[in-house]
Amino acid sequence: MTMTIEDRRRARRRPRPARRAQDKKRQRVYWSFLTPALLVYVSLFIAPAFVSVYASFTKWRGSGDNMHYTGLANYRRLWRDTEFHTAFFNTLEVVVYCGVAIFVLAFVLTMLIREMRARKTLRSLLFFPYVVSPLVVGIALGMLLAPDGALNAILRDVGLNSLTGEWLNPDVIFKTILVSIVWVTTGFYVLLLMAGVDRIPAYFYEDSELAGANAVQKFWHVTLPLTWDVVTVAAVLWVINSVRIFEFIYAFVGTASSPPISARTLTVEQFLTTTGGNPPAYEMGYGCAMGVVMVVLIGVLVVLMRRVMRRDVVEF
Amino acid sequence: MADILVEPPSTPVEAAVNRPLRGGRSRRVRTSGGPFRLIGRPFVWAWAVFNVALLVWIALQSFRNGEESFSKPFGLPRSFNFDNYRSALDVGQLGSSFVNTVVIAGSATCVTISLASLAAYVLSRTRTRSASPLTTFFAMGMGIPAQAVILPMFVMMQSVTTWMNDNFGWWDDRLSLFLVYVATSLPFAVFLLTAFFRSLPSELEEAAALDGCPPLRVFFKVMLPLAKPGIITAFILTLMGLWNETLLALTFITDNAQYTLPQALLGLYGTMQYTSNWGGLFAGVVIVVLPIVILYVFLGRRIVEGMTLGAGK
Repeated sequence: MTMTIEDRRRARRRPRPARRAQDKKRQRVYWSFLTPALLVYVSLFIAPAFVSVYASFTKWRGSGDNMHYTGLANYRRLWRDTEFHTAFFNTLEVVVYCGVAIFVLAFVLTMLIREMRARKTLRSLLFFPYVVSPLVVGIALGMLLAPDGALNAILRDVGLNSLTGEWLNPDVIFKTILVSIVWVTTGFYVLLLMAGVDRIPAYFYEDSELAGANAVQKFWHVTLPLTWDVVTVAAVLWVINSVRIFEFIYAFVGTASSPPISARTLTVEQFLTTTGGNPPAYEMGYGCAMGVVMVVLIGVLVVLMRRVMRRDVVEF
Repeated sequence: MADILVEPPSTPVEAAVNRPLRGGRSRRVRTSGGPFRLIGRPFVWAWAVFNVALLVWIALQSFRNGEESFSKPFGLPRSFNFDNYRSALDVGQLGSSFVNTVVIAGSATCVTISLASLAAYVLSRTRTRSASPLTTFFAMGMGIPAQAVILPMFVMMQSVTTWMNDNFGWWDDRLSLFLVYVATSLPFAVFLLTAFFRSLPSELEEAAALDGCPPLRVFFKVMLPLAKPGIITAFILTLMGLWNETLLALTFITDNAQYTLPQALLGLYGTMQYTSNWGGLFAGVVIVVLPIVILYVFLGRRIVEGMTLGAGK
């Protein structure tokens, strides 16, 4: 990890005394350059993370209140809390359903776009929603999908009255959210996959075409094996990013005084049980336990996925 | 824990970007036909057009009276006046929150990038035993969602507030938010910049060092100019992330006058649901999105490259 082949080659070439002198000098600045960032990171990020883990074993209502150690009480409560169960499985649904949809779509789009003339423009346009504030996208979609919003108006105008729907009703809203997440996020993964696909030499495709391969076969025997490492990284990123999706869902559900439980994910649920409710409940210990669950969920999913996706990397 | 990490030094994506292309670009000769392409191409175009159309639709609605937006969602505005914008800026307090966001997100980004580029430089260039584990240590932060650290942060900042108020009679929640922004942005910035510094050639730096240039000068005079594209990319990505950040702002800022843009927009969303002044809300949305759109139009390529280099937030 410390030495790439390139480094080693360079090290061999370089006259040793000069290198040593330079290294010594660098060593001297090493800590002085590193310390500021390290200090901020450790004191404002890593330390709170540890406090969070400890607080999850306590009853704690925030500043001014002492942490009362209660052992696993918070976790036992999570185990029984049906609201939390809904949120937990909703998060899992986001990870799994949206994940599968996004990766299938991203591959299809990548394969299509790389053969199209305006590939760069198309790629930017698909990616665009991802850089816009998720809050804004959530609000805009809310307006579009409102009962008397634009989508239903179009459907009525073209005579498809039967297709109009109450997209934001408590029982459908989560499905609407899932679809919207797929729409917003896919562009980013198209970007990543294209970076991988772009480095596959053209002659692989030419060869397979001469051999009479169709699009599906080309994908299965050329694209997928040769981009597997990129896909693995992208999948890990998806897990990390999907568990923490918050603003987007909050814009859909959160602004009403009591958002439908059916549409809450872990992030929304945690926000509402701690500082976000009206009035805020400040159940800090309980909220920290939810945070710990999120980190564990990410950890478990990433480890599992790396196990499942482990392949020998194809060198080319 | 170690498995959560995204392997900072050489992710395949980064390698993909840095590795010289062998065998040329995989752009191939266009072949026509095939049901896959026949259905697929219009689908891709429809998707892209929808994205643009949504943006245009929002922009148009921001000039219309809210009632009309709902009765005839696809009508054009009768005239282009800025009443909606005025109401968003005054009633929704988007004006003051715009300033808040510019100052908080801007300063937090500057500090983050300064700290991160110093750290990334030595992490990527020093042959010490601690460099590689420390790089991983920073990258670990990307796998920890803000939700897992936010509550102790919140309480910690509350005690800072009380302590400062007792001893100096002054503190501002926006400063708390600024500190928290720096801390949460660091992992990604360090990760991205380490990858970038590593991709730079070391010859110039060595030459300068051999000539007796002190390390600090080497960094500022040689490395920084070389690393400018990477630093700009990291800057834009961090700034865009903080511009859109909502959860931390909602938690740390409670006073209306100190709201950031996303918070003010949420507030506007809340009031508009009662007053039905949808035009004002659309104007608010445009105010939040426009700077990002402008950045994206002018620096899109750089943003895309940064995204694939650091492989995402």
